[in-house]
Amino acid sequence: MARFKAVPVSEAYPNGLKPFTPEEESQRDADEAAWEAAKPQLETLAKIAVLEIQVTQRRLREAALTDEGKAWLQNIEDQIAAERAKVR
Amino acid sequence: MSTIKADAIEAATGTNTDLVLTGKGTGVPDIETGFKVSGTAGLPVSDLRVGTDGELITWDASGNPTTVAVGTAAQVLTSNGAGAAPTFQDAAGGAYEFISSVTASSAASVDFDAVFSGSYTNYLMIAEGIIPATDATVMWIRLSTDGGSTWVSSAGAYTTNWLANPASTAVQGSLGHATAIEVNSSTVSNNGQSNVTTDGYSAFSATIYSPQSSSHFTRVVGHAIIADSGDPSSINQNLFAAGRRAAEAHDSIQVLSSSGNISGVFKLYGIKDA
Repeated sequence: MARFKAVPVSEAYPNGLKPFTPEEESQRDADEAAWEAAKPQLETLAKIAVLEIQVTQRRLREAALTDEGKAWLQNIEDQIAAERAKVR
Repeated sequence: MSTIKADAIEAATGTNTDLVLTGKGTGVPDIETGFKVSGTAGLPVSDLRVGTDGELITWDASGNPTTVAVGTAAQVLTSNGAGAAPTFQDAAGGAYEFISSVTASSAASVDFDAVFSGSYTNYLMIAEGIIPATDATVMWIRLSTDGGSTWVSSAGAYTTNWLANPASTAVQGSLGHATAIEVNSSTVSNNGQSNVTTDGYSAFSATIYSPQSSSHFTRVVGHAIIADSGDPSSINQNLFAAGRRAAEAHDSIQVLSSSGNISGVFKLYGIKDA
């Protein structure tokens, strides 16, 4: 299906729609394909970000002072390492 | 000088006869300050001489009474300083001047072609009521150097740095080699834009710095509220600082979704330099 771009209403485009050129159609196809291809990596990066922010100052203190805290931190580190391995 | 002393003077003859008071030579009738009309002190506005609709009374540089000419619709009365009568003029306006608006209804992109000019150094885009056709997508911004014939979309053309707070947790991140500026971060979990109206609509404002400069990298700084995909009670805030990674004179700007069509109202303003 042909794509349209929304543009300011004018004499040339009274309904505010301008059809994509063949080049723009190709570009958009490539955009969407790249987006789909990048999704797994982006989701992995997002998971890493969530894991990283869980390591708060309190968690670090607990890791330094208790075995439970240390184990918790090691578990997070292992999860981050596993996710990083996916995007290498 | 002789004086008539009486409590009332009436015209003597006829039924509807004016009462005439006349001075002599260049002399004119002289009425005491505070005179009354129909028992009330002062001259009522309704008794002023019939004039032109829309004119205002003023005094000219010589101190003589005159009128301010009628302006045109939407003009405002503007002082011309001491010693000059005011005039109706076009409103000076604020710091922002409207350039163009696009209302998109499921369009593949929103394009403002050839809108950056020498008239302004910086610009503001306000976008609201935004909803993508595809769920959990990211809003992209791209620039053009050729009036929108082609859009800069090569790998590494743009960089974006975010501070986002999906699920009320602040996360920062960056995407240093992207094909577009990202309004909401693609590298943050649960930060995709909802395509369901019951989740609410997204909106953003973005300031575009020096898009026409061929010596400065074009910078885009914005603030977005993103309707959280799948959760109508949750909204995500995204602060984004982004830009081109090359110095080019851009004349056009485009907004699109990372996948599928986009709807919303997008407005572009020029920011006055002075």
